[in-house]
Amino acid sequence: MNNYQYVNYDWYNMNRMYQPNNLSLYNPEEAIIRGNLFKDLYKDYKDYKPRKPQLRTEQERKLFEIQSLCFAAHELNLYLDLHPEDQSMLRLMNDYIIKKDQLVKDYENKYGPLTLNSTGNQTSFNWVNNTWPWEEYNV
Amino acid sequence: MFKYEKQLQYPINIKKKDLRMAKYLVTQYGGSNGELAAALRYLNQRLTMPDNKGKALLNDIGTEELGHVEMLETMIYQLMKDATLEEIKEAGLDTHYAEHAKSLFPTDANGVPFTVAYFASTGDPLADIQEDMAAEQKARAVYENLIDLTTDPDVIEPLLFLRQREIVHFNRFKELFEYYEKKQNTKKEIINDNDLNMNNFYPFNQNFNNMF
Repeated sequence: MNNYQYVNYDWYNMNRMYQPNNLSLYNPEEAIIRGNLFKDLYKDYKDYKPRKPQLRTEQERKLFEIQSLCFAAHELNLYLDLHPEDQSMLRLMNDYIIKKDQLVKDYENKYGPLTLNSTGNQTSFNWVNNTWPWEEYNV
Repeated sequence: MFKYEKQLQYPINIKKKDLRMAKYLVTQYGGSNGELAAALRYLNQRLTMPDNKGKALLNDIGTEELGHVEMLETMIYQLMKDATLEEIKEAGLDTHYAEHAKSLFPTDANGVPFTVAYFASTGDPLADIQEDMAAEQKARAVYENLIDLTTDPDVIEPLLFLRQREIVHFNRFKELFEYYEKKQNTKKEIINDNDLNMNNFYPFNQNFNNMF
């Protein structure tokens, strides 16, 4: 049995995909779960469906909100690299970044810094204490 | 310069050790179509892109690929960390253990070490961007092979995410390629008053920068 029996996407279409003028986007959470903000660019593999990560702690849930907004803003960033004149996409990216910054502030107050930029108000150097991303967040 | 953010681009929580899968996954870490090769290729090529759109796109995708390197490292680490020596031998990772114990080492799935030959830069923007488009397609295909090799949803989930990123990047590179190609054709029309065979002519290289 080889893999090609299951390939269900259309090579031709995949290679002809253009970004339409009238874009339809996923919301940030739908986008990160799919790995794609742009509905027209999204392609499934076989019958695998995107699944929301199992978030076990409050910290993981809070971080996932931040990750979702970071992801959506990054997707718009890549789009804007090629279409810097698109004002509506720029506004949307700004909205996501502002929202993300608010969430980051709350998160860092509770769980310690995400970047060394944001350690200004620390009373102890929590950078060495809080969890590294490849480790398990405390349950 | 680069600054670190203490978060993954996409959350990874692998609860079940699986040494064979770790052995396969390493190819997207240190193999020819892997994330390390992609990150360094784009961050290397960005300097000679002919305009700001190209520089920005290569810079920003290259930076994202560094985040994917971290995701692969995390997956391999979590799949291996609780393994016993017996299990390591059984999975055929004893040769890895002999040299690296449980530390990570960028190779492909057959143990061939990472090499800068994977960078593949020519300095010709159209050739380089087509190299990048091909790299994204090859990485997508490898992710599909890897998804076929596991049944653990904790592993499949981030692999589907990474596979989808290859599709988005491919399309962005393709857009940039077509934009440059169009510029090239405009240039052709301007100099189309001599006897050159225009179908077999690349008015490129040193003069390319003057087009912008």
